[in-house]
Amino acid sequence: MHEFSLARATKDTIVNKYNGLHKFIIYIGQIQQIDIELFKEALFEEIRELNIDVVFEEIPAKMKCNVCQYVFIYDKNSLNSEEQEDIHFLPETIYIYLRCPNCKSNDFTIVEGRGIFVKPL
Amino acid sequence: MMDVRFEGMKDKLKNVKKVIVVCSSKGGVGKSTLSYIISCILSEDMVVGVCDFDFTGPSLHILFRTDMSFTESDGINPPEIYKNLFFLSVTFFSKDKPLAIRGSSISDVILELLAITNWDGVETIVIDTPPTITDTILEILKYFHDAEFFVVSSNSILSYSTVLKFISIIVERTGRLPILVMNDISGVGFGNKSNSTFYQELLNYSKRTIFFPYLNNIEEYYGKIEDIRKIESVRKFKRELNFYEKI
Repeated sequence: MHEFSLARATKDTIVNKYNGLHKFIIYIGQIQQIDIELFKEALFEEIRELNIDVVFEEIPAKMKCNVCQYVFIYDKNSLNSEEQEDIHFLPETIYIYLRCPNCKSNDFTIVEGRGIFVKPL
Repeated sequence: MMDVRFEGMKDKLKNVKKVIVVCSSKGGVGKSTLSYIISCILSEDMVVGVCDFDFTGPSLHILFRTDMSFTESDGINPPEIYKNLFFLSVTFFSKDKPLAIRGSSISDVILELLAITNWDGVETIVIDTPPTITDTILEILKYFHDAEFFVVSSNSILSYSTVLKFISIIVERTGRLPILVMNDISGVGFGNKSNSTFYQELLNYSKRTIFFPYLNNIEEYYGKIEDIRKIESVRKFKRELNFYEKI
C-alpha cells in the first residue's frame, strides 16, 4: 500500500511548498500504476482538516523510442498481472517488459505519465 | 509543479543519522565486497540499511546470499536479513531480470525508492553504487552531499591513476575529502607503487586512507556475516574506520 506513502508525500508537498494556497490539481502518471481510488481516499484523509481542495488528473503514459524515434502509448493490458505488479512498485521495471512496437527496442524515454505532481490552481 | 516524491524522501529519511556511499572511479575494485563488509561490521553496533544502487548490475544479494524480499505496509519495508541489517535491492522489483536504464530513468528509480522505502529504526544507510561518475553518483551527490563517501581503488594503475579525478569531483560537491580505501584485490600489495607519481600524488592528497589487505577465498564468506566479522583484517578495518569516522 505505498499509495499511503504517496498520499502523505502529496500532503507534505502542499503544506511545505505551497503554504497558504488552497486549491490544487494532482497529476497522476499512468505508469505510476497506483490504485487511484485508494490514493484519493488516503489523500483526503491526510488533508481532512486543512481546508484544501484538490482535483485529480491521470496523465496517460507516452513513450518515445531512442532508436527509431517512434512515439507510442503504454497499454497496461499488454502486460500480465505480475509484470504490472512490478511496475506498480517500481515503474522503471517497464523497461524489462515493454518494447517499442515499431523496432522492438527497450531503449525508450518515458515522455509523459511518470510520477505524481502537485500544481496550484 | 512539484514532484511529491521529494517530500516523501525527506519524510522517509528523517530519522537516518548517517549515509555512507561506497563508490569508485573504475569497476572491479571490490566495491560491493567492501559495501558488504562495511554493512556487516557496522551492524554489530547499530541498525544498518544497505542499498544496492547498482541497478543494471546488482550483486549485493549474492554477497549476502539472500533471496528475501520486501513486505508492504504504508510503503516498502526492506527485509531484516540479519540482526540489525536491513536490505534494499532493485532485484526485489526486477526479479533479477536485466534492467537497462539510463538518464532520467536512473534519477526516477533513486527518487522512487527513497520516497517509498521505510527506514524506521535504521541509523545508518550504506549505499553501494555502480563504478565511475554515473547518473547514480550524481543523484546521490545531489541528495546526500553530507554523506560519508568511501572511494575504493585497487592496486592497479588503471584504478589509482583515475581515482584522484573522481575524488576531486566529490570534494567539489561535498566540500570535504572522502575516505580512500586502497583495496589489495590481487594479493600483491602496494609496496611496488612507491615510484608511481600517480600513487604518491593520491596518497598525498587523501588525508584519510585505509589499506585493505587481500582476502583469500572471500567467496567462502558470502552470506556468513558472523564469520566475516571475525577476520582479523576486517577487525583492523573496523578499528581504522572508528579512528577516522568515530562511527
